[in-house]
Amino acid sequence: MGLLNLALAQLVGIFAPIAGLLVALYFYDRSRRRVLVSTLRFWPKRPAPATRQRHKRIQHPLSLILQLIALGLLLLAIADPRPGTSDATAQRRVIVLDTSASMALADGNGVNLMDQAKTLALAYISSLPAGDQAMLIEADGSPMVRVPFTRDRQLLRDSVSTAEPSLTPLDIGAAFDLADGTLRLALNSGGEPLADNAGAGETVYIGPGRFDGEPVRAGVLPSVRYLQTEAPSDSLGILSLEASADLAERGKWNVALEARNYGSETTTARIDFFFSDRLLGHRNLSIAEGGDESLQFTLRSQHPGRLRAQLAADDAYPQNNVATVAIPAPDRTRVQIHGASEREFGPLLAAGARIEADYVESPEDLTPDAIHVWARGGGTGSSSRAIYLAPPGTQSPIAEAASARRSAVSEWSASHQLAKGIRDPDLIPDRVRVFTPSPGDDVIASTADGPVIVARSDDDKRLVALGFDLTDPSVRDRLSAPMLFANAVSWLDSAAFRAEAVAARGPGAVTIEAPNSAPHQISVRTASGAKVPWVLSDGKVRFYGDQRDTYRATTADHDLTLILQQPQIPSASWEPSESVLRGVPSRLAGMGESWILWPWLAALGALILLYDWIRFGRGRRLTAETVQAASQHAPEGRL
Amino acid sequence: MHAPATLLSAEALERLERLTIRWTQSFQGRIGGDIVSRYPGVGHEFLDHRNFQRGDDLRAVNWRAYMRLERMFLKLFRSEPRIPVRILIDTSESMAVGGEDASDSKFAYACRLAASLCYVGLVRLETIVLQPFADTLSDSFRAHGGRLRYGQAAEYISNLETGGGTAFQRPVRDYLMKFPVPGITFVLSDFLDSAGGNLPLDHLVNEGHEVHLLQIASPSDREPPWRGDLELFDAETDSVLQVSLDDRSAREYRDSYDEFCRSLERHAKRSGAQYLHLSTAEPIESVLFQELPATRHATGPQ
Repeated sequence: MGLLNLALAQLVGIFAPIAGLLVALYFYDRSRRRVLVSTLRFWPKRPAPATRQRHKRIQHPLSLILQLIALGLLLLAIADPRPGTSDATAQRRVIVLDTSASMALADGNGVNLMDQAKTLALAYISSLPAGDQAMLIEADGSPMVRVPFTRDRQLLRDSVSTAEPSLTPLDIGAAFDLADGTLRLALNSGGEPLADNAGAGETVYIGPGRFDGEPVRAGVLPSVRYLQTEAPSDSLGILSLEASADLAERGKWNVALEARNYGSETTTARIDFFFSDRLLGHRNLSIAEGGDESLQFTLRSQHPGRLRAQLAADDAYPQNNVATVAIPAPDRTRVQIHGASEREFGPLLAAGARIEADYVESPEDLTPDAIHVWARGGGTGSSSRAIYLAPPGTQSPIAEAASARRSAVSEWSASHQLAKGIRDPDLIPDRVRVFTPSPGDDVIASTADGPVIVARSDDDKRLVALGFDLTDPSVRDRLSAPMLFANAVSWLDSAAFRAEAVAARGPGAVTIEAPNSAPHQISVRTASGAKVPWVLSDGKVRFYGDQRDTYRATTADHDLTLILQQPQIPSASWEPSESVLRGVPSRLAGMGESWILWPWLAALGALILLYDWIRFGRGRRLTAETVQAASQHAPEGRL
Repeated sequence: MHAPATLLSAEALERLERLTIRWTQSFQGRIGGDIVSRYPGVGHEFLDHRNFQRGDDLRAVNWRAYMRLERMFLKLFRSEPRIPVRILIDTSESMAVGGEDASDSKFAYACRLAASLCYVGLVRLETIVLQPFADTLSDSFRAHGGRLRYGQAAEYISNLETGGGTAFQRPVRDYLMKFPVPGITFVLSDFLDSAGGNLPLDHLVNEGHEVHLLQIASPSDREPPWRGDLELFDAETDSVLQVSLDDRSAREYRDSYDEFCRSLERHAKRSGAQYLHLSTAEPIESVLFQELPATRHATGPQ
């Protein structure tokens, strides 16, 4: 016999004070009451000692006993006793309910897989012996404990009934690892104590067994049961839609779409593309059974808009037949060049599609939000971001030491961003200006005569000073010249050469290539601005996006906007070993809820209370008053 | 305890207009009523002749008979006397006991019954005297002149309060001195006079009053609803009695109370008074339309 809702000590602890209160109230009720009467002349005169003794003892012991029995029965009904079970044979059971995106699908008969899994889970919960504790794990891409170990069946049922499919694929290995860990933790230290010979526990997986990620490790759990739903029936689905800005042409986006065929035969699907709800066109994609295919095309737009891909597939899961990304307006970096013509400077700017060059004649035409390039002298010193090319001594922001003749570069700061990717730094022309940098200035290149490339970074100002002119024909034609200029522009404006992309993918782990990024250059935030934890290792930024949200990841080279709302349906199937049990256990069915006693106990307690009320309580008085009233109206009863 | 503010509804008053107060014994020397007396008196309907005696009114002599027989005969006529109706209302503390609240008490019941009798009498142009009493007589109220005076009578009844104990000796003596002319007397009381009220009530009958004893009792007066150890307080004397009431004790109490009621009824019958036991559980109208007419026609349809 086990108690489902209360421990025995709790039952006694509740019964004892209530029973004491009941006895006290009983004696209080039986104490002498004061009554005002018309006269005392008709009342029987009994000896006083007899009347005094009478109220000190229990007049109706049967009434008190019946009330105590009824109280005990009602409390026992609340405790919900289950015969045939005890803590000695109790086990812990972990219910792994598949809530991955594939559970939103339907089987071949159109029955929702989530509903099937819920039915199986409820049947399993009903079959559990009363003494067993059960835990509910909702398993998707990141399995989580929904209900810790409990004997409260109703709580488990409610939690199962409210489970909903997520957008992530099932990580069945992580789910079983979590179940294994909780079972070990419970057996060793956590939860309510079980008897020494209690079973290790059972883990039951309920779902279709479709998963991504690591498979189940062999022998990880001592006892596993598999309640399998029908296999999902879905024909096609879009896995991802990504648009990357072309660095060479402003307003040009390279769009890539990846789709998967979940069916059992090769299918040709038509995919319509819309931009701002206007049909751009369509592509036909032939995908082999169980395979993935991708297509690419180019989109040119100088305006922002929403790019939507619509897969024309009439299947059971329409949510993954559409993917949408928001194409932003083309970004630009303004560079204003003073003292040089487009013919001279054009080759240096060819690499940056975002760069919008503006050649100005007068310093008054410069705008403060642009990068200023001072060629052949000049410079007001008021620029917040500027590149000085061979500045004359009087106008150089960095003190100039001397003018020297050409000599080889003796020191090259390869780790600085200005030197990124430049393997041949020997750009020095015949004449070069040598600077005297201040403390805090970064010396990029030095010759035997002194620093020739210096970068200065203050709180709100950045400037680069080159001791030579990049438009010098002896320098301009070298490969390193545009790279040095591009590095300088990128150092002054980090977004100038950053690869921009927007993508719609499924939730889960995200990996971004960031080989040139330092930690301070990396940022991952949600659409609301909340920071998302990330890890940088091996030149890759990794973070986990499991919420239906938009994430923005920025590295030194990439600016990626991710819409992680694309449902991911795994394709791998779990093939359990022979030792894995299957189906709802019929052995437990006879020991479960068919032995529910509490309604009978409650009814018996209520009947006893009713009998006591009629026999000893107010009901008796009512009966007597009814008889009296009848006798008063009877002719022979009237005086 | 105060009397209830609202005694009778308009519908109840309308139904009461069908009733009239009757008397069973004749009263001498009163005129102007609706009921014919068996005593001769001043009236219009011839009753009989008798020999003229010295001092008789010469206007009633039958002069035609004298012319024929030369003997003087006096004509007698039927009289229709107007009999005073007096209602004695017990206002002792014992009347305040019984019922779940004040409106169910014996006193409230007595007040409603008195108001009903008063209205019946006023409708027939009787003279009604409301006389409260406990261990002494209180100030009375005389109502006459028709139904228009009922409002004043009802206000008087509504202002009555309980107080004192039940004692018939002194109130009856004072009543007979205050109202020497016989009439109909309704006594509305629980008759729980610890000194015994039988002998004083006999005086009322002996002085020529037609007496109706209406004993009012609450259901708990006869059948105590309580059980167990009780501490009983006498409403009039503040005496305390501790009893353990079980079914047997309750039965003994009921038998004792019934014997008291029977002795009161026997005594009333012996002395010529009318007796009626009324429970506050009974509606007033059933008492007026059924119980009282069934006794000796104290009230009845006109």
